[in-house]
Amino acid sequence: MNNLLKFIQKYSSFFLFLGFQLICFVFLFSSVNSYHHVSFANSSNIITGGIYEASSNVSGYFNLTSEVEQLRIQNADLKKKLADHKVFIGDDFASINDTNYLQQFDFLNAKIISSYKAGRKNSITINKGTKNNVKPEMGVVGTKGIIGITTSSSRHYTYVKPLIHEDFILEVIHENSKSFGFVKWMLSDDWRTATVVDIPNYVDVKLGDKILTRGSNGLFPMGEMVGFVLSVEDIPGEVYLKVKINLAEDFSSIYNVQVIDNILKKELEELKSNQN
Amino acid sequence: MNPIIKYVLQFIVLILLQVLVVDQISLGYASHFIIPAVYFLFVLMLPLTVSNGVLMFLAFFIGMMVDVFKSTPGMHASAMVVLGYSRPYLLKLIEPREGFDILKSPSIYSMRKDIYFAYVGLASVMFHLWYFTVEVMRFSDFHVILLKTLCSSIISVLLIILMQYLTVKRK
Repeated sequence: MNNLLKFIQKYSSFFLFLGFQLICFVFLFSSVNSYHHVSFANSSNIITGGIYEASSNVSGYFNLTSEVEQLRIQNADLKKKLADHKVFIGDDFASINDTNYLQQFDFLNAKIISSYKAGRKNSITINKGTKNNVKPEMGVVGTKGIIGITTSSSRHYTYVKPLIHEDFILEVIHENSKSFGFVKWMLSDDWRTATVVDIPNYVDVKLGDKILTRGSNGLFPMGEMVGFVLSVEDIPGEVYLKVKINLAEDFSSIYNVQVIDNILKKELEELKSNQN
Repeated sequence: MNPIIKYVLQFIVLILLQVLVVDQISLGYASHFIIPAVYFLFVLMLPLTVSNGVLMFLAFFIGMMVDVFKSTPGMHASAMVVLGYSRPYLLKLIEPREGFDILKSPSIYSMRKDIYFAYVGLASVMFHLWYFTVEVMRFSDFHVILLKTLCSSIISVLLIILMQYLTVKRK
């Protein structure tokens, strides 16, 4: 016993080192592949959120002109497809009534107050929280394409897991063939690209084709822009293609985003759970 | 100035510098490989008399703070603990024959320039190597880890030396 104590005392700093590393790795592994997991503390808390917001209030002025231009383009786009986000519920005799259309997706404007693009576990913080009814598991789109999915929110801020996070996965479709696959952010990707897997190799995927969201999990409407095909790799012996895409959204300059609330999401989830 | 207040200020300033300035530097395509960190300078600047336990705790704490800011799960803290643990060995390794002046905290003026350069350089390589290894978490992509470590370390050391010349008073 005495010898053991002496041993521990002699190597006390090494044991301390192991102890601290253990804490770090518990945090690390409890966050891996956990879609629903709310991490211990992230940039959506009030102090870091406040600091980031103050800083982005200043830096936001520097690219105001290009942001306004993008918003104009997006506005024009949205006007064109206003009807696309509504679900037609009257399916027998058409009656002229406002209740024919039900608004399915609500959009909330938000501002990105901090974002990282260089690491493997990147993050984005936006300046809307539970006060504005932003909840975990809502889609976030930017002015050009999808950004990510909210994972945890405080009263005023929300942490978004971006497309450029190694745990991100979303079902997408190839616009021309309507065949679907999953978009992932692999190790060979930087913040401008991503990889679509699970598209069968008989599908004719051409360079520059559009890849859109499938809307299957109710986080995004069907047909939100994800990216354009950059290269197609047919792996010998595999039945699926490996499609590299250029992301529509430029993750090095994002500022204005919209959070999507799907009013029918609960219904969709109930339907899915009844199935099982 | 009271040394405690001085170190608390250094702590806050270095974190803010890291997340609000250094992380916002955009280098185009190169920023996929160059991800500089300067906040670990806090641990390098602590006085030589500080005990191992306190050193490691402070390293862990500043790493955790940066983790919270960047929403990374414990990765910075892990790399900082490695740095805190190995600092005494690092100092022993590069100690000149006449030894260090134990009353001064390590800075570019209290040490010989080449020794200080080796100190920051080795610490930076160690920090980045551990960080990127934890981040990628597989050894099949070791060349990516090495490339990132090399590029990021060079830029980090340059930034730290620059900061030393701009902020530390010559005595």
